[in-house]
Amino acid sequence: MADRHPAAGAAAVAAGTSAAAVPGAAPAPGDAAGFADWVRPHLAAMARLAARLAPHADRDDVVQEALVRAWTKRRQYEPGRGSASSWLLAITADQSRRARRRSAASTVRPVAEPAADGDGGLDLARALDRLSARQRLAVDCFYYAGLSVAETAAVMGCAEGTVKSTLSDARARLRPLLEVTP
Amino acid sequence: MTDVDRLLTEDGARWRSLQPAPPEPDLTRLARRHRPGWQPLAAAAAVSMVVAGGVALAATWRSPDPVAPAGDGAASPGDEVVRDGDRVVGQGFVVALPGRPFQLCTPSGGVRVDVYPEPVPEACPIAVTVTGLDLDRLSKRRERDGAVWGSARVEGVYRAGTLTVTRQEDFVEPPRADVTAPDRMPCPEPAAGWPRQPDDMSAALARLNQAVNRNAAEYNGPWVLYPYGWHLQDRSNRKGTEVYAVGTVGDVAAAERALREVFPAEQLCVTRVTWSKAAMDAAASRLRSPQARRVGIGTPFPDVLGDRVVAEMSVLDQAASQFLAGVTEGRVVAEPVLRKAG
Repeated sequence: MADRHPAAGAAAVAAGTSAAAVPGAAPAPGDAAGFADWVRPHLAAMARLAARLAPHADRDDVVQEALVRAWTKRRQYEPGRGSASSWLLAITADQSRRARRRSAASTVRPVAEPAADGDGGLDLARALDRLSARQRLAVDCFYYAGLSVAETAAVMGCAEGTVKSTLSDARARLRPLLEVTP
Repeated sequence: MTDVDRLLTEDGARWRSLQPAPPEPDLTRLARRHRPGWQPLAAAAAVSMVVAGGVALAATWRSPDPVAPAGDGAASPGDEVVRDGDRVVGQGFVVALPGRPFQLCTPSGGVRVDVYPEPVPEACPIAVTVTGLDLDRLSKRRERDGAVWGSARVEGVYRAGTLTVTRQEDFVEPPRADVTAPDRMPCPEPAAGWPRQPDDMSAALARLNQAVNRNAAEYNGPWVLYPYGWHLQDRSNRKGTEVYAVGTVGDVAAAERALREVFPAEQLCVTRVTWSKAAMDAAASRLRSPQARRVGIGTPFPDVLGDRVVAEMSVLDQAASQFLAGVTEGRVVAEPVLRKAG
């Protein structure tokens, strides 16, 4: 008689869990469909990140190119170096940068005007444009794309502590621009 | 939460709620680069053991040195086949679902699963049932919704698909490969170095893929190599330069002449292989068959520049061994989770 889980007979595992997370459940490694299953749980975050980091590029195209990149490098994925989501998001960030460079020549992004809102503070979108590139990246990843600190660290190529301090600096920079009290 | 924190959190949530659904993976794009990246041959050779006349047995992350057979080519096929009552060792992913036997799973798709993120796993389709396992001692243990999963290194007695554990230890982390390191190149570096690829190689790569597919009995690939390494952000020192490799079972010079007609880019590398795409696909197809599943063979991995086809399985028992011996004359490499103990 094989061991049984102590919760034998309890409610079944919650429905709707992804087969992609099941070791052995995904199709063959040479099978692109199996890879698609594996990445599917991370697609929403990848798409959000692409939309934030390459706002003038075709979001879905950036995601697809990131998937191609991940596909070619999939045997080099090392969970010990980070989660699958961090790995995929870092690749997405890289593809987003490429896309942004490509689109930069044809798209002129309006420069943030220093004009203030009626109450003297900048609106949030304009205030975000006043952040440094690193601060903006951290804010985009953490607050907007909804990434964890660890995932943001993977995207930024830095330690988690650096992400936290960068976010703190960004908030400090935004505070007077938005005229909010600490 | 400060006011700025709250503002950002709320605005971020509002922005996310307005985002359209993400795209589905475009399989046709993936198929353009259907082959995996370079696996260091030196590393593969160091842990592989070719068994004359039978199947080859490869050590992998699931069986790092202490539990891998100390093979140097001297073993015979029978030495590696596990029979009922044999003592076996191995390590891997363990999942215990409510009301189900504990499982030591056969990994999927070459993806390491010693750390597994949420959500809760489901039962593994290819696995060994495990008894005598202490779930509280799992490495990187996770628990949710009544399910427990993690990793373990186990030793015990194998009988009829069940492992009775007599010794349980922490999962042993295998050596990590440096994913940013330069690939070992099968082609000599041009005098001026490999040039960086244009931003868009898609049309040329499509032609190269078509050429390979038209001559699948001769060619294999293409796959991407990074001669100067790869880094997400760092592009210095030529990092990220791509070379597109194609293998041939025939004459390399003739193949290169033919392929340059459709892919004149300097980034082409043609090298000699023993597995053509057609042979590799045929072997992989046999390994995905219902017969293969019945003998406990999991996902095959066509490793192009490793020039091998790998079959993942829980244990190389007699049935699996006999099946593999009948696939491409025993050239398939077995990667069992459990191996015979010392």
